[in-house]
Amino acid sequence: MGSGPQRVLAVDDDPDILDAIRLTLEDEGYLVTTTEKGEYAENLQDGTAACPDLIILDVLLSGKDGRTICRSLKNRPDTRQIPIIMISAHPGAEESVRAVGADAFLAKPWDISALIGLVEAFLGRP
Amino acid sequence: MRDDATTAPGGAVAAGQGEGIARDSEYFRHLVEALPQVIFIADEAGEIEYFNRHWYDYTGFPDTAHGTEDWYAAIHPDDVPQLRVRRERAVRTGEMLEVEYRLRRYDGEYRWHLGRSTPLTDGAGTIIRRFGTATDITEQKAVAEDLRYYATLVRHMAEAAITTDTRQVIRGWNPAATELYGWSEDEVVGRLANDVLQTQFPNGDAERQAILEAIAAHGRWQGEVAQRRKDGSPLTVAAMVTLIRDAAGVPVGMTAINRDVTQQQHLEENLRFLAEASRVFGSSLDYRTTLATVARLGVPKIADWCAVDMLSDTGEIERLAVAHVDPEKVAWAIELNKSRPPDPDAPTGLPNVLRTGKSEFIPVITDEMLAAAIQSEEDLALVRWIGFSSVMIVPLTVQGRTIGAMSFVAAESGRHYTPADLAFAEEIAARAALAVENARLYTAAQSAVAVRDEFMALASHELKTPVTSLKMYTQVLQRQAERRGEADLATRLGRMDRQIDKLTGLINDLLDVARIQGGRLEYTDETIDLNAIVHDAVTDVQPTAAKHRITVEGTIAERAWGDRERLGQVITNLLTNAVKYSPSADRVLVRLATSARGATIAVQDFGIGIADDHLPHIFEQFYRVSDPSEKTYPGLGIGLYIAGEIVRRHGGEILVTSQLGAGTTFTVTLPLPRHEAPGGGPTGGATDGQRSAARAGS
Repeated sequence: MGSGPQRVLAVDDDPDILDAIRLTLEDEGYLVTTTEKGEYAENLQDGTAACPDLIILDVLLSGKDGRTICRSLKNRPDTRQIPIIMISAHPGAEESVRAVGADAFLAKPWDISALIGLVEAFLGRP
Repeated sequence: MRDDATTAPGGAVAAGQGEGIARDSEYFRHLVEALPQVIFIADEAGEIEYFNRHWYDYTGFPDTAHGTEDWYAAIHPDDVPQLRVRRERAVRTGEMLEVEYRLRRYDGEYRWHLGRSTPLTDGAGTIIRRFGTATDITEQKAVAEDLRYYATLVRHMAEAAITTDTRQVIRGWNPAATELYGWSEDEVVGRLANDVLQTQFPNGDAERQAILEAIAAHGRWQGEVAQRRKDGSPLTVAAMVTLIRDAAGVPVGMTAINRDVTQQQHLEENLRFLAEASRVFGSSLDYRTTLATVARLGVPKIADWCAVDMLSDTGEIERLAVAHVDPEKVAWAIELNKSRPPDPDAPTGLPNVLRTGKSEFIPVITDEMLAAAIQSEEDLALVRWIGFSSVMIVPLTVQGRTIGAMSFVAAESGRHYTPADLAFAEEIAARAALAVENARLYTAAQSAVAVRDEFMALASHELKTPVTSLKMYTQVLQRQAERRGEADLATRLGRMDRQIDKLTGLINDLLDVARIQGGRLEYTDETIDLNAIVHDAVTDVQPTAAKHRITVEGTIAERAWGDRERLGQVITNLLTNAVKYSPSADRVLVRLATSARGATIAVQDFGIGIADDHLPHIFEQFYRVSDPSEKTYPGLGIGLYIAGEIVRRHGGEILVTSQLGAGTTFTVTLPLPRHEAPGGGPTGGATDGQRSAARAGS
């Protein structure tokens, strides 16, 4: 991977979850960006935002389905290589997120060890 | 008479007669003596002076007994008084006498005789003698008696008895036939039976021919036929037809003994209809469809026209269904109802029933009634053309409120409804109303359940959002505390984390119940290693148990099919329960085995046990042991319900055995690919009756 810490983008409409993810992963040495807006993730390709090395994406965002975002990111050549971990409070959502190209699924609530383990699996230890 | 009887018997005839006469007389005398019937001669006063031989032979009297009083002595005492009166009158008036009496035979038996005596007059017309005979008529009299008996029987029998000749022309018609058909004997004798009775055979003339042939071949036939009364109304009779033959065996006619079974048949049809209607009502909750179906089923056996009308919330009458065997008539009736809807304020008929909630019943509709009820000439002509004969309109009442009505109308059938028919119609209406009510309640209950399930699904999802951040914060803080060497804080945060796990478990259980209820619990089906699932569950639960050691004995040699996560959930639930309900024990035993019935996983605790009363219910949802004398354990009462459902969905079963104070064993049996399902079939899984045992599963 490139120089500097690995960048993780977390997208969820609950600010506390975003903060807890940031706390968890920053504690591990990752650089974490968070957003409550799905559009931010969708606009990654135009260079207005720095491309992350991994995306944590909630399935049900306010006004937007995370799976739509996942599908469009996975359909574009410039973003399709970014690993996407989709998260949901519905344990049964795993199948549907696999269908839109998500690389992993994590059911809420999770053990931080599970989250850290997954991120490490994609990005390696920072 | 004896007193003035002076003539010697036997010699009187010959006395004072000439030679030729004497010879003739002797000739006749022999003849008379030889005749096998009683012959006597009396004088002009009626005193008997001669009996022939047969008299002595018959009565057994000695031939010295020959006077009138001797004769009376041989006659039945009951017959003597009237005989005396009639004899004396005949002697007095000189008329011929014919009288029946019983004469005692030598053996003591009284036998009926016909006595006749004729006066013999001289040239001047003066009676000088009476000749008499007595003939044994016992046999003839018995026949006549029989005939009279049978005639009386036929006249008084409850069944209609109809006699025809070989051309089926009516020759006999008893009062019961008059009663049944309305025709008098005079009106029908001499007419063709079929013209009078209008007998209809369900399968037409061919059937009629077949019946006639059967009668000719076997001498009789019995069965039910539809006929009509004089007034045109239909009836069903159970007929027994017998061929009459003369002494030579040649058919001379037929008798039909007909019994009215119309009511019985109506009753049977009513019951059949009731059963069918109940089935229809039970088949669907769409009461609008079921009511229309029932209306269709009602024709033509119950009614020629059957209609269902509902009252809307705004008080409008809505015709839900109208049925008639002829679709054209149905179309016409629908059109009529549209162009001329019933006046809600009409004092009689459907609007009245809907308004008052009381049945309307007109057994016989007369033309006067129609004329009085219908103002418009056009309508009256129309109604006359349809030919209403009887009507029943019964309300559909739900909780005291009239929501509609069913109308049963007899028209072309000419049927007249009876109070029994009305009671039946009201029964149908009661069931229909119940069906409507059930449908309403079920819909309400279903939507309540749907709202509840949706709420539970939403609630559990919403609850997980704060739990997710709470858990992450707790764990991160715990790690940081550990790193900083703050052991106490780290331990407390660890406990907090386990409480969050319990909370998560409860939320998941609620979500699962909602899914099971809604039939949305999803399963994956893959090959699984039950040993690994059990060991994983033990690994998860062991840290939560402070003093229990969970040990696993045995292995399951084969791989099974199923949902790894869900089965893990079952084992985790059983292990958690085992720990929870054995606070004084220090171990939980898990035994794995393979039997002929499949793989078994037994989880045994050495705890408080479950009372027999509770045992059959522990797999029910929200069931909690709530005995005031027992310690209360926290929980929603859904863990075992979910476990039972999951195992059932895998085609397995959970059996529980327990003894109070000694512990409980839950045994999960799951089918292995080479074994039969342990539940023994799709209907298994009921609580079995054995002591201290209950089961859940297929």
